[in-house]
Amino acid sequence: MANPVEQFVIKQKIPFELGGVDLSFTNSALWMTFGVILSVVFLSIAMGRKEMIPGRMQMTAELLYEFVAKMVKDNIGAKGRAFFPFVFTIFVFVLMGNLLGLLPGGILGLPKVFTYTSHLAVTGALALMVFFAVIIFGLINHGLKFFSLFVPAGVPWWILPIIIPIELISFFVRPITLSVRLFANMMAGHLMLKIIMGFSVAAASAGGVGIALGFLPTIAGLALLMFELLVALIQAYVFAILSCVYLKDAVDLHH
Amino acid sequence: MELEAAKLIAGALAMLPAFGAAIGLGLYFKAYAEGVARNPQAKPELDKNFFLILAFIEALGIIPIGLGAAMLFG
Repeated sequence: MANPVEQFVIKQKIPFELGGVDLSFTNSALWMTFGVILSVVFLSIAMGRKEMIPGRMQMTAELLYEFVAKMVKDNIGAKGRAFFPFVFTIFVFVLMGNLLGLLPGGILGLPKVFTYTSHLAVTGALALMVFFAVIIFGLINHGLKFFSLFVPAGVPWWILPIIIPIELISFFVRPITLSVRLFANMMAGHLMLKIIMGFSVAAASAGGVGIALGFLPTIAGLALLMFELLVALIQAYVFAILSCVYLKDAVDLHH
Repeated sequence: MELEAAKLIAGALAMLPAFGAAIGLGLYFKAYAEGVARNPQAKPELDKNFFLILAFIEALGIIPIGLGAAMLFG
């Protein structure tokens, strides 16, 4: 039985070093490239021939667009349209990572599948992008008044010494919770999938009754695979919607 | 204690939070079903963040199980 943690190992595809910094093209970068190319090609083909009565491809692209557009509008408001491309990019990138990671691979000469969203470095970078976008656009839009974010309106002055540190902490743990939620979900899910499926292989290799019993973990694994599909979609949605909620602070203070 | 035994105990203990997540999910679905049954007009309102909250609760269950599995088999 293969080690279930093996799927998370980063491998160098094209070694490259610049000034002592390892900038190799890894399997993680390879699958990120796949994700970006696939989403760009899909969206350009789907929206290439714009028709009044959309076909299947155009319908899918429009659904995806309207889904994110509605999310941005509901959570940030009309002024949030400027953030739509940002949120849409994050959503599609995370979704591609989650979905591509569920593909079968490593058999019939196919490359081994790597889920880039199962690494804290990737989700952390995305979360920090959102975090700094909030700070930078908040300062641009509101100037120094942006810091009144940490002082909730209508709070008695004598309770402020407690409230302000709490607000500060809750603001600064945002990128941590945002990234860890996605990374831990994807890592735990893929780990469970590999372990349950590994039971089948272990049972079948025992021979005799094991071959018959080996089908049971496969059935459980299939159910888990469908559950993982749900988790992949929901986690991309959660990441995007929380980005919207955080970006709302940059657009209007005191909601 | 031997490392192998400690690993098994830690793996088993790490599965315990699934109880809490299961209870939480049960309460959540109960509240949703009751809300829709009592006031069907509120369904669109309740559906809005349905999967978001679902994801928050089930993340609390799946993360400890994944970590427990990592301790056992990793």
